[in-house]
Amino acid sequence: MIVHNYEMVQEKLYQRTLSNGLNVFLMPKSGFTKTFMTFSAKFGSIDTHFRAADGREHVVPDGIAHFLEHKMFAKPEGDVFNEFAQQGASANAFTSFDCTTYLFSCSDHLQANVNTLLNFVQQPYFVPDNIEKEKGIIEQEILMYQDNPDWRLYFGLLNAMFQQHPLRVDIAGSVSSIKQIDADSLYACYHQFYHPQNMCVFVVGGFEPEQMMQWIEDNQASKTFVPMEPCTRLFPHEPAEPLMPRNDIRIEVSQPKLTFGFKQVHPVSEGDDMLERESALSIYFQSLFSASSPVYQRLYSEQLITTDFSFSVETYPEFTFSMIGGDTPDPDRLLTLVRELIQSHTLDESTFQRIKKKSLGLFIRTFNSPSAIANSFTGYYFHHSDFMNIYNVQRNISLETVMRHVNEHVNWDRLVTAVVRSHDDVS
Amino acid sequence: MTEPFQRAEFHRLKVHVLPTKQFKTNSISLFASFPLTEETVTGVSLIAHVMRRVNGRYRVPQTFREQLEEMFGAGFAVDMQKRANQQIVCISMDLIRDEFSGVSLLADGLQFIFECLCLPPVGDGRYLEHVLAEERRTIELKLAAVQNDKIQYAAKRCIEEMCRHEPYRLSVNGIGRELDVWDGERLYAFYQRWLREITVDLYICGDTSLTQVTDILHSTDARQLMEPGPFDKYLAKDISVLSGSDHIANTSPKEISEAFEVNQAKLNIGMRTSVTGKHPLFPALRMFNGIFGGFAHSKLFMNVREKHSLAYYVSSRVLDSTLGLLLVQSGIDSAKKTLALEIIQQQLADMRNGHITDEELALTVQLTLNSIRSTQDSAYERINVDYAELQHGRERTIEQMMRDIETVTIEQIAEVASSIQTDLIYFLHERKEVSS
Repeated sequence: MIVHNYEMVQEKLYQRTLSNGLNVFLMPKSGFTKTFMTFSAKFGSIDTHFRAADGREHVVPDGIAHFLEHKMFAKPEGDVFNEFAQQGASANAFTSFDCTTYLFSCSDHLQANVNTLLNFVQQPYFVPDNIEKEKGIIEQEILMYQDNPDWRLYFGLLNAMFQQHPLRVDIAGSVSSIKQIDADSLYACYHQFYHPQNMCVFVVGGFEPEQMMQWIEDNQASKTFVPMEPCTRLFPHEPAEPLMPRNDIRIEVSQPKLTFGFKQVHPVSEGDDMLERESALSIYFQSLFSASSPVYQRLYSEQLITTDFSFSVETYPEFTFSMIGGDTPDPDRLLTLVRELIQSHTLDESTFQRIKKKSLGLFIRTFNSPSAIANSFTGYYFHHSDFMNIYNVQRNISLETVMRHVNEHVNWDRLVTAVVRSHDDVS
Repeated sequence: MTEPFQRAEFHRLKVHVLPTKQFKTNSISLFASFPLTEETVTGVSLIAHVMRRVNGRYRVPQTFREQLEEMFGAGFAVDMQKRANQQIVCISMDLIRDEFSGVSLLADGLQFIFECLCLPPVGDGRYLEHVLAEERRTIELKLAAVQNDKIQYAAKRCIEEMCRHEPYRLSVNGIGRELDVWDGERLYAFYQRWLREITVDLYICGDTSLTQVTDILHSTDARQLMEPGPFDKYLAKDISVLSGSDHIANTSPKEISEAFEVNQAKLNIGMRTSVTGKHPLFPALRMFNGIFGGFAHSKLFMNVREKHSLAYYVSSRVLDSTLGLLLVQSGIDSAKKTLALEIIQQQLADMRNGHITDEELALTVQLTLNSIRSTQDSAYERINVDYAELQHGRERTIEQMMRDIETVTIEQIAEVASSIQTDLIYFLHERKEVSS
């Protein structure tokens, strides 16, 4: 077991790759009563087209990763939530664009819960009856999200940004796409992507690391795995240009919502490169749009933005996109003014240093939350990045480096906008 | 054995300190409680909203925020909550501990919080007009935005109708049409009354002690709360709280249906019980809620969602433990309303008849204990649990809370179920096309 000592946050990380390829990370936190454990597969909503080792190409319905996540809990002996509940654990799962995570938290019966998590995710069981039943539930889930203006805005922007890439598709799919899901396609995805070599375990909280590693190793050693068959994930070619500069969505809202951002297509970049880009853009956008910025205060006092105004940067190996926005009475005026303000904005040294101080504080505060640690770490891990290294990257980044990344990202030809308005809003 | 809070009372300021190095931060929560009334709710909301952006020392929003960033990105929030007939303003701050920042932030942080509470941004006897105008607008937009989240909107409507004759019907953000009445002068006059009459609880969870905190407080604007002063004659009288049993519930539940722009209908049910936070059966109410609709193995989830596939979400929660209010929420296909309602009502009837299996009980105990224990892993949860306990006139340790849960019987849960009356069935559905 390798032990990493992170003095700057006073945490230790234990790590081992098991003989079946599973990557295990443990972060014990003394004084915590709970243990939080995640078991994740690098398989998400964008993985709908792949070529298996035998050369066969699989195209699976949109929303299948999310569907599979739901179905995983159904077993012949009953719903796995019950098994966790009997062992005093709260369980959950979620699917993102590129990752599916199963997790539990508990303060008792720890070994039993560890085994339950590892076992249920490694025992696929998909039968027609319960597949059909789940379609009704997921249909309601999709409709619930369709009623959510912020969700519609988010995907409205992605739809406008991406011409072909599955990032533009809703994570749960659509009511019609999920109807096509069957046991065969679920098993095909499961066998390809739910292999220990493609998965990651993260445990954080009040447990003893040597003992925990032993439990996980014993569990995995009791099962046989054939080596993972390599597969090629296939994605359509995505041009640098957005599909359209603007997407207008009609849904009832009390006032319009605007989101805008820059689409950036770049050569594959993971690891520290990805962390550097993310850190640079985060610092830059904070200097523009956090509440301490004169830009923010001007927009607020002109009543063009409200307290929900926010910004984010999402980085993937071949894409980076930003998203900035919130409620506004006048999306066009807001966009025009923001553009002027961005173009005339410079990031000065003292603001840069203050934001770095703030970022350091935010990074350290993450370590109060076991779930934030586990989820962040896993997300970066699947992009070959080390979440813990954010500390050094942020500390060492220079203003020059920040501006280099900004100049690559902020390209007005790649600006995309999405607006949500009510049906009867004719402005 | 979990560490207890160290407590002290200084005239009008109650201080609760939990010394611990478990977290990377020193977490502070200040609760300022004042009666919730139609005449004052908007004024309190404006005070709270302005407080998020400026105070008497940092009178410009930009410098206010810069100061927080200088404190290593200190977390800062001003929220409001309602509890029975009280409107509570909560100021919280999260400061990274000395060993991570290399500097000591606690004194600066406490000074900042008390500048927010005790030193309002005023000039010439009135609140600074431009910030006040901005916050009037912010509140107006916030009130209008509730309708965007259909789940939140349906819950709000259900509560408004169920509590029609009680202060609890009010939104803590205030009343839209009253906003313009509150000019800078009127707000400042009200603020002075509010400051005199609020009950203030200060909580700190972190690497410090009651002694250290007390020393710091004496050199902050908290002073004026800690020493007797000329305005003490205005101290609020003891407000008796409307308890669950005081309210006469409907003998048969009211039904309200409203049309709205929704893709998915919302069926909400408001319920009342006399088993409130001070009642000896209160732990049994928590268990009732867990079995009824609080977990994935609950009766509502298993029957409405899993068995009949009628809903993606269906749950129940205790809305207010002082008033004894519960809320069932579900998102369904509007054509399935009658069936969904029948199934929900059947689950309540089953619980009244004590139809609870040992397995349901055991699972709920396990998860409830897990939930109680897990509050110990968050500074703010520790603070909130303790504050809630004090509101119910208790001061149980975590161990005592867990014992209370473990000793609840099926008979007690059935007794609680029998005390619960359905007050309102609220249904929000899509608009129907009307053919001419």
